[in-house]
Amino acid sequence: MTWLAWRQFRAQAALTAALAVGVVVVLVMTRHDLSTSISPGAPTGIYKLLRLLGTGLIGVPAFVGAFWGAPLIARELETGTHRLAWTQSVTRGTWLRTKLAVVGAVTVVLTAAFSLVFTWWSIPYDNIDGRIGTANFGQRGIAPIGYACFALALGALLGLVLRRTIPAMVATLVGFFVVRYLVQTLVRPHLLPAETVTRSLDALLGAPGRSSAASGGWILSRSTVGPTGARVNGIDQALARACKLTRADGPSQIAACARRAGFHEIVKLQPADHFWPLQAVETALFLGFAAALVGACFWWIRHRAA
Amino acid sequence: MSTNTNAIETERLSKRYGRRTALDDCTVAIPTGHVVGLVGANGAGKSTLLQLAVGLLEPTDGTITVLGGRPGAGPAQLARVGFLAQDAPVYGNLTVGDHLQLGERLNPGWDRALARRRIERFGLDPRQRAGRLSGGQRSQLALTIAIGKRPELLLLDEPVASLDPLARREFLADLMQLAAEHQPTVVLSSHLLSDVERVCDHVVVLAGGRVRVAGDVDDLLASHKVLTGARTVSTALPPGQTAISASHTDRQTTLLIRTAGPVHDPRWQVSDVGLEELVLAYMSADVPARSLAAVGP
Repeated sequence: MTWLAWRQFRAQAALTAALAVGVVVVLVMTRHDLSTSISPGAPTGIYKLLRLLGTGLIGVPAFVGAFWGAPLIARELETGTHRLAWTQSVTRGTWLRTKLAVVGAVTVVLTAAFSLVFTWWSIPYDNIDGRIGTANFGQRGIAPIGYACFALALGALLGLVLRRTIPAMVATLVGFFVVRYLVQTLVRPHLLPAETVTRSLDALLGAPGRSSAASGGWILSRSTVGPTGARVNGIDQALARACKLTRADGPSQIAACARRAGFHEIVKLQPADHFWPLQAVETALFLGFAAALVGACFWWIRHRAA
Repeated sequence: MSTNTNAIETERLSKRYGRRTALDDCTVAIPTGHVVGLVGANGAGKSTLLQLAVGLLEPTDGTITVLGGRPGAGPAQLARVGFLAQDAPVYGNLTVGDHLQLGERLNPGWDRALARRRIERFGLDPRQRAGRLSGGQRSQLALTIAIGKRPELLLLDEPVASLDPLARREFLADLMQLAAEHQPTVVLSSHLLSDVERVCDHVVVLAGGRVRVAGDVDDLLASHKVLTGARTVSTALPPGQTAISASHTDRQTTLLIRTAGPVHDPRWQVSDVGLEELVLAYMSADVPARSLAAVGP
């Protein structure tokens, strides 16, 4: 059965692998210059372009779900070849397990190669911009592997249930991005206990300040509090009252005033060193989703499909 | 295999798709060792019955037993039953050779020599993509996969429906030869009576999701007679004789009856019935199905 699954998939796998190898080679070749001679804070030219690969990396799981997952079973049901495949001396459970295993293995290997090399390539940028924030988190580390497995399983199940390739592809894309977005906004902030730090208002007011404990972290919420610890809305007016200063006096003076008067900022965040633990938990979460969807596939193919 | 195991045995078998009933309360036993024609109009439930027998579908009600086992229960049961689905599905972007590989790798009992011989005989190029084969070639490829696994029971769902007359004749001739050489029980569905008449020695007639009649062709032909008489003759029949269909012209009445013995009534002219006439009578008969289903030798 492995032979058939591979025979059906090998052309797509080879094409995608060639693309992935190309990307990896370009990243490896440009990495040295990037880390020595370029100012990573303001990427230019080719590096600006290469940074966009991160956006591509967000699309890889969606591609896997729509183009590998959705047609995996739907195309067989559409063309009737499931009646050929399921009447050989192999149960449809084995058939499904083998197909998912072959496509899943290629998915994991290619996604992991792309993501991990890109993560390494991005370190000079990430040292400055951070990588735990929502902009970068999903383009780094092992999370894309979890996303891709989830998308593949989602596509397979939707293809099995909807029985038509194109609707399954569309539903997979929509479903994938909805789940991905909901997890990013509603779930990920709570996957690990957030930290709360108190910091000066320097950064908020635009004064050149020392880097604080929050630097590089993923800020979940921030609020300004006054000397009494009460939350302050309208910091400008509050400072104007406290020091008789206005915005016209320049950020450094205002910041100094804020420090003197006891104003500060309370920040809830996931610190930068939560990056890998958070990656592990999020990856596990999506692998869990994938496992549940695969389970649903097996149930459906035994009881509902024909 | 023990001789008392039927190839297919159903007990009050029903299959519904949502509100549509495809098979309704079917009880039938199809013996091994025959080439069986499953006859009925389109939508009579032939395809549903065959897909239930190979395990592609699950019954809504009742039971179906195939060669003594539950259809599709496991690799061993699947290996015993060969299936050629309607329209002979093949993988369009795989080659003929790939399909032989598929058969070999997915079936422990694969007969490589037999498959090769058939591919050569039909002039199929192993390097050709299956998507570019003609309808007849595709059917031959699909049948080769079904027969290559050397099943005890071969189920063919409308194998010739999409073929032109010449390809149909070749296909059936080949099938007859296979049945003679390898002796599997063959069940083929068709709405073309002439095909069934050519190759089958046992028929099952389905209409409206029910089994109307089933039995050996010879037994059926022996137990049915056509009676022709004047219009005025009463159509009341003695015990042991049942009218299946009746037709009238201005002057004469024709009955198709099932009878246990010879007909002696001098008012009727008695003649033998052809299979086609018999099957058509049952397909259109508006009689309670269950009372007709149990025609035995």
